Amino acid sequence: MIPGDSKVPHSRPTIVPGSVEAVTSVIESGQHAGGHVRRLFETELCLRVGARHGIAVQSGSAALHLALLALQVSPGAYVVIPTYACMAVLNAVTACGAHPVLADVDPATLNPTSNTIQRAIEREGLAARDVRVIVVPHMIGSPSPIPDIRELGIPIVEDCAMALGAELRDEEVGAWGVVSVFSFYATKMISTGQGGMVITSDEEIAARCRDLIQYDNREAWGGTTWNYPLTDLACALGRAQLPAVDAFLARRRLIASAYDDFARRRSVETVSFQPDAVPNHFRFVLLCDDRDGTQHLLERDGIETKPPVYRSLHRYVGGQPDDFPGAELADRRALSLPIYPSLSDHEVARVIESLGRAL
Amino acid sequence: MTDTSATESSTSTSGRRIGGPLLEVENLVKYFPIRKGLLSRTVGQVRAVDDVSFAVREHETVGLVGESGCGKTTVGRTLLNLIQPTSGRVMYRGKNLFDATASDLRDLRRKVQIIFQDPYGSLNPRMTVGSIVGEGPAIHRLGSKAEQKERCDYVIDRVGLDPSIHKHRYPHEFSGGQRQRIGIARALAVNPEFIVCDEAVSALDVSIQAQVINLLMELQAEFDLSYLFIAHDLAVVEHISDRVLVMYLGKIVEEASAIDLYRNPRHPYTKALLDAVPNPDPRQRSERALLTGDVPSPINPPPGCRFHTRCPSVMDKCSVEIPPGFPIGDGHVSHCFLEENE
Repeated sequence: MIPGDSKVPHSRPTIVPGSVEAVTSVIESGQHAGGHVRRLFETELCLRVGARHGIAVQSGSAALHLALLALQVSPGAYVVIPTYACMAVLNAVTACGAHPVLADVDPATLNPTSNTIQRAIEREGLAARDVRVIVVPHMIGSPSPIPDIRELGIPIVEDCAMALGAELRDEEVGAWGVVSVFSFYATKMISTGQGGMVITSDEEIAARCRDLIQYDNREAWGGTTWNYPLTDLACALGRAQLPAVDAFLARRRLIASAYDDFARRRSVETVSFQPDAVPNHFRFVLLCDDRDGTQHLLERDGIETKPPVYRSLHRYVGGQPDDFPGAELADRRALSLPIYPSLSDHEVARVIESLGRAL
Repeated sequence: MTDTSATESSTSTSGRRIGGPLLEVENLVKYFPIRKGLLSRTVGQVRAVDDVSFAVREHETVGLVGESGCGKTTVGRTLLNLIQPTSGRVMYRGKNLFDATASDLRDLRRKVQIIFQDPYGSLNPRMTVGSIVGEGPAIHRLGSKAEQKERCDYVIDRVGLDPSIHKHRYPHEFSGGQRQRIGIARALAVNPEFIVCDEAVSALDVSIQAQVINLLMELQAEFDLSYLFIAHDLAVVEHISDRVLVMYLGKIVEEASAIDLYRNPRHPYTKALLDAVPNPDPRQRSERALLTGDVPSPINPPPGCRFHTRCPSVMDKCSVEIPPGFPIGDGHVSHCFLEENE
């Protein structure tokens, strides 16, 4: 690390002009959770994604939990999730009392495929009709092959936590599943600190979601409801960033193409994308033979990198590594580089220079 | 005519209960004459709307989409009797708008309102907001003066403005979004049942659009309104509409529920229209089914299917016969011969 150069963090939120004023105006209004700004944020994301209903909640995890509840995932139900995913996905399933059925991923894309899902269902001795829901994330902002997965005939929850702005077959992700969930955690495409949203065009599912988060002032108690609505303060921050998403995507595309040039020149393997998909470059992931060694060398130069997933989920629940060869490979090889709109050209050059020394 | 006369009620957006038919448009035709010379002889006709039929049910929002010049606005204005049709009927609660007596017409003019696209040009600059909003209730003599004032204050408040301050101001003192709210308050003031929203959010910024869309949806629930939502922004129409009609060169080419139309477009024009939403990524642009060629002149529209001159799936009969509506199911209808053998 050159003296004077600061550390390049793996993630950094991009705060756009107007954000502070937007939040301040909500603070000064005295209505911090009244829902007026939340409803605007919901409509604006719906208009972007092409859906009819949005329900903004306090985190991506809460959004996924709510989506599963609204799809009537009940205790004992089977829910397929990919093993190469964050623990929040597993938690949402177990919070419903359902059984997670872990599917392997394609090590080239880090996404599940219809084959890995089919194998997972068979491994559990189940048939497709026994499975209530499949949760399909678009890992690192690269769309999963949802049209193929749809052929299995199981309702899909599209996990767009990392994928705002990514496209599949010319359509922005978020409207491919029965329900989709978004995350606005601090490191995500847009940040509300913590936050998330359920998106759906299904009237009944939307109504159930709204009912499940109406946690007080009810005529009758009909079961547990959840204090999940996102505050107007957080939504104001989200609203300020939404119009900038296209500019964010353009900047991420530019940085990704610089990393791509480097990877091609040095024959470094990177995660590949489906031919009919346009990633949002939420992450730029290298597939390294010596992942930990490369990470250490970059760290020495002040470049923070991370594995895209801390640990595959089958490792937590006693799954056999042989059943998940794709995820095992990803666990060993995948390394995510800093990529975000506020990453400067100078910082991009530093990352590439450091990679040149490390690889 | 398609599944527009259904009388049973159903539930749609936001749990609204959609009722029976409110407005039924039957074979509506509007040709504008082209006049020339000293004697203003008619030398041709602009076929703005040509044999259009559809219905709007109680509490329902019907979207009407299409390119500029396809006849959307002419349809909307004909429904308000602002333009006399060449032929056809518009039945409002069973009464033909064009045969109505003066007294019926007065009542209909109260029940059917319009919100215009241009929030700058559609408000009289010499009138205060209070006068603009209060004019309708006064003309229709809705209650006493005090009740009219109360109603006026209520709707101004309901659209998010402060009656004690704003009703004394003039339109030029407001932003675009606020002026559109004034237009909405003016429409609401006479307690309407049906509102034509003619590109009502098109001139607004995205963040203001969401405010006005949410307001329209809240008002629909509160006042049991039905909307004909005319727009060229497909995302807005998808979000707000229960059913969508797609128009091309004066004719409806496809009709379906909003979800079905956007998930499963059948007419080649609808597909092209949905594909025409711009993609910021230049690498993806070449793969889209973009429309080629110009829109033909409505003065001399192509025979047969009006879209055949630009259609990627054109067949011989398309240039000869006008395709009837082929039902696809669940009220989804496509006017395209591709459906004939499906």
